[in-house]
Parts: sequence; C-alpha cells; structure tokens
Amino acid sequence: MSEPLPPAPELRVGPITRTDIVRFAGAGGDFNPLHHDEEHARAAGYDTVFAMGQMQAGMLSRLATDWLGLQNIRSYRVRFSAIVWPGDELTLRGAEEARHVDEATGREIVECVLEAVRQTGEVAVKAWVTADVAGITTS
Amino acid sequence: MTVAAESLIGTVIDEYAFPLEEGKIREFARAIHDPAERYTDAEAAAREGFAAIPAPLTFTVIAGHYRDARAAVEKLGLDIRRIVVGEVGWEYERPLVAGDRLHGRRVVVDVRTREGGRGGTMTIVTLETEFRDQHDDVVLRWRETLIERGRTGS
Repeated sequence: MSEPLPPAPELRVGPITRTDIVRFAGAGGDFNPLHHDEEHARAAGYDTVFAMGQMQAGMLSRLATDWLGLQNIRSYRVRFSAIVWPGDELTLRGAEEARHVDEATGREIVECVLEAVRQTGEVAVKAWVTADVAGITTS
Repeated sequence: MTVAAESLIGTVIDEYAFPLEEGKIREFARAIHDPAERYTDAEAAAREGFAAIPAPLTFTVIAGHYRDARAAVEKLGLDIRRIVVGEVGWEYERPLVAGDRLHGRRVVVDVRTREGGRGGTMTIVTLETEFRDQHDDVVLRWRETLIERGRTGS
C-alpha cells in the first residue's frame, strides 16, 4: 500500500453570476425557467433564480480531474444538498477516504470525498470519486 | 404516485443518440469553469494520452438537448412540481473523446416509497442510462435518483 494522497489543492469559484447560470443552461440544455427567469422563480416562491445542481457538480468534477487525472477516474457520484444562488462563492475541497483492490482487475482503487462549500459553510454538493491509483501523479 | 411502483422497474424511459463534438466539449468545459487545455487543444489532450479531445466527467448532462425531462416524468407518473434530483453518478469504462458517437437508453432500475416526516409519501426512483459507443461497447453508466416529495411536505 502506498502513502495516502495529499489532499486536493483547494479551488475557489465565484462569485457565481446569472451569466454563469445561463451559460450552463445553454451548454447542458436545461431550460427550466427557475434557473433564468426572475419572474418565474419569484412566482414559484424563490427569492431569485438559482443554479442547477449539475453546474456545481461539473465545477467540482474539475477538482477531481486536476487532482487525480481524468484518465484515472473510474466513477464520480454527487449528492445535491443546498441551493447555489447568484453571488455565492464556492470553495472546492477533496481528500482520500479509503482504498480497495478491484476484484475483477486486481488494480488498487482510491476512494475520495469532495465537497463544494458555500461562503456560509453550507455544503452545496458532496461527491465521491474513485480512481486507479497506479496512474495518479501528484506534486 | 398513480402507477403501482414495482411495475415501473425495467421500463425504458427514453433512448437517444448524439455525437461528441469538439465545439460542444469546449462550451461545456467553459460552463463548468474548467480551463484545462485538454478540452480545447488536441495536442494538450495527446500529451495526457488521449486519442482526441476528451469529454469532462459530467459531459452527458448535455443529453438535456436530446431528451425531454417533462415527458420522462410523465412516463413515470410523477408530479414534476414535486421532483428534486437527489443523486447522480457516472461509472466509466473508458474516457469519452470527440468523434465518439453515443447511444443512451434510460431504464427504471429501482422504485421505493418512504413515509415522509410531515405525513406525505416520498417516492424515490432510480434511473440508469447505459451508453454504448459506435462499436456497440458499453462505455458509461449514468445513474440518476429522482425524489418526489410528499404532497403535504414542502
């Protein structure tokens, strides 16, 4: 068993703008008006528009690929736990949690936990990622 | 919900195909604020061992352009106003790269109901999309868990 990985170098994103949300809507094809139409969002009981969870899930995936290498990643799973609003600043963090050997391939797999945290300290998205240890190079 | 929950397991929700295009990968990488050169420059991608510009981990989200969220929820017999997405997960068999062509088939793999704390019954539906490439090999499995909150919960 090799040494545990050093924690992921922290990343910061934001402040999130309405333009960021609209850009993601166009890229992903999510045109639910709650995410871009102010009047619609207010009528539905929200103070303003808010980001679709997949936007911050994508932002958090960058932490995983910067840290572990895109080619090494075997799985990426996210849980949405808080809304991200325009003006929010997100801090992205990650650390190793466990390792196991994949029975089918005999390869060592690292299991890491990542989170995107709002400026309030609230976790907006939590993610679990697995990666093939042999390919990982960290500095 | 209106339909017997268990009877939904195995139901195909939708099927669609799309090409992985360099321009779309660039646009998506920019939308998630990922400036890595591998998403915009084939030479940078080659230096990391990719045969072509690779797709970011959550790229299949662009299926939003090819599938109909409202029709899917109707097919499940759920109320779109009470739906939230709880969890989403991807399992990769290999990296996806520009030039690939994917075919996705989304199937109901699990349905559970739970009594919510505030009296309403919560329905939790898990969908799995299996993506095959142009060689008919499975390259990716994408799981989405939808939660329909109880009528009286908020």
